[in-house]
Amino acid sequence: MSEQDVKKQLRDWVASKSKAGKPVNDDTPLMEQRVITSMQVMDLILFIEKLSGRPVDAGKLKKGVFRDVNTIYENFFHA
Amino acid sequence: MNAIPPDLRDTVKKLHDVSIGDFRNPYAAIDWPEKMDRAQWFTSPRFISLNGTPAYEALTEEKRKELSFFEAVNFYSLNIHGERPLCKGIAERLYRPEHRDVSPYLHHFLAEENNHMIYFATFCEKYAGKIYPDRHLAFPRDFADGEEDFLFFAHTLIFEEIVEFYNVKMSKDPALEPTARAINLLHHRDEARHLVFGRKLTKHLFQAHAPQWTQEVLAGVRENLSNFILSTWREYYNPDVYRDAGLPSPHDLREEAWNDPACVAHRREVSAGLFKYLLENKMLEKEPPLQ
Ligand SMILES: [Fe+2]
Ligand SMILES: [Fe+2]
Repeated sequence: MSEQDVKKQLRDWVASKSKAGKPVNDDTPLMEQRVITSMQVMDLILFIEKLSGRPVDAGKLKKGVFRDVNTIYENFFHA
Repeated sequence: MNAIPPDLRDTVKKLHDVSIGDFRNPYAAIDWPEKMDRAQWFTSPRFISLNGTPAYEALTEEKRKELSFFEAVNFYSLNIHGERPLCKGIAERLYRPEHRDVSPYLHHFLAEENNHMIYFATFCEKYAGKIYPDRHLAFPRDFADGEEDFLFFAHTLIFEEIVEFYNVKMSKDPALEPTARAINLLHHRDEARHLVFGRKLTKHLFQAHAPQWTQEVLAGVRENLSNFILSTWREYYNPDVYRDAGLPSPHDLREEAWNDPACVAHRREVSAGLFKYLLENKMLEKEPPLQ
């Protein structure tokens, strides 16, 4: 999957989960603006695992890895 | 607001006495078979997360039993992941002035949760060779007075009410593999007390603090509880379980089961007592969505 495809899938996923219904760009702050809540992180991690085909070790995640779509891509998909 | 209501004080005293009599050595409580034959039921078939879906209907009994094993590993794993932060939270609250009166019981709570993790982890490690990973992440934030304390005990209660529904039913299921049955029974014996305590303490904390909260804080608390209920339920559908049981497209299976009307109805059935409590005590204004 290309970078553009992955980012589009991530944007679509976030938009489908967001209660605010605001448009999601690659640099929209997801946590800061509460587009998604901490309780949706488990689902986000599972979605990242599905897209990347690799398990995510939540115990080792650093602060800010879910800041926005660009950051998620850098942390979980950029080889 | 350091004084606790008389009925909570009585409850603490009674539970403290009963807990002393029911205290056990977690290492001697269960006879662990050296090897586990997986061709048995480890989760009652009606509680397998996929039950009711076309995918489940298509499985042979042999495959369903295998799935029931990994469902049990998930149930025990999510209990461990709930109990670790629970122990941390209880330890932090021991002998704080506002919790001094309930601290004698908090000691039992803490010790018993530690025992539960021993049962759950022993099964997972010994027979599955693993505990499923924790995918929780909490972000630091600010709270109004009493909000964090209320949410801590309310989350604990929500988590334990759902677990207890399964423990009670599965501890009585004669078809269940004996070790799995024993784990459910031992957990239920302690949890029945935790729930009596949790219901009273959570109610007391809400009544003591909610009147001082702004409308915005109160709305946020209610939204938080709804979200917590939903995310607690989401954990019961774990793609790792479906993958380990050899089922194709585990992530899609998860969404199928989550959206299946039979599964939604099941979640509603299990949550009914919990919702009644939260609504009666005005912690929620309306039934939260389960989908
Ligand atoms: Fe427990
Ligand atoms: Fe408990």
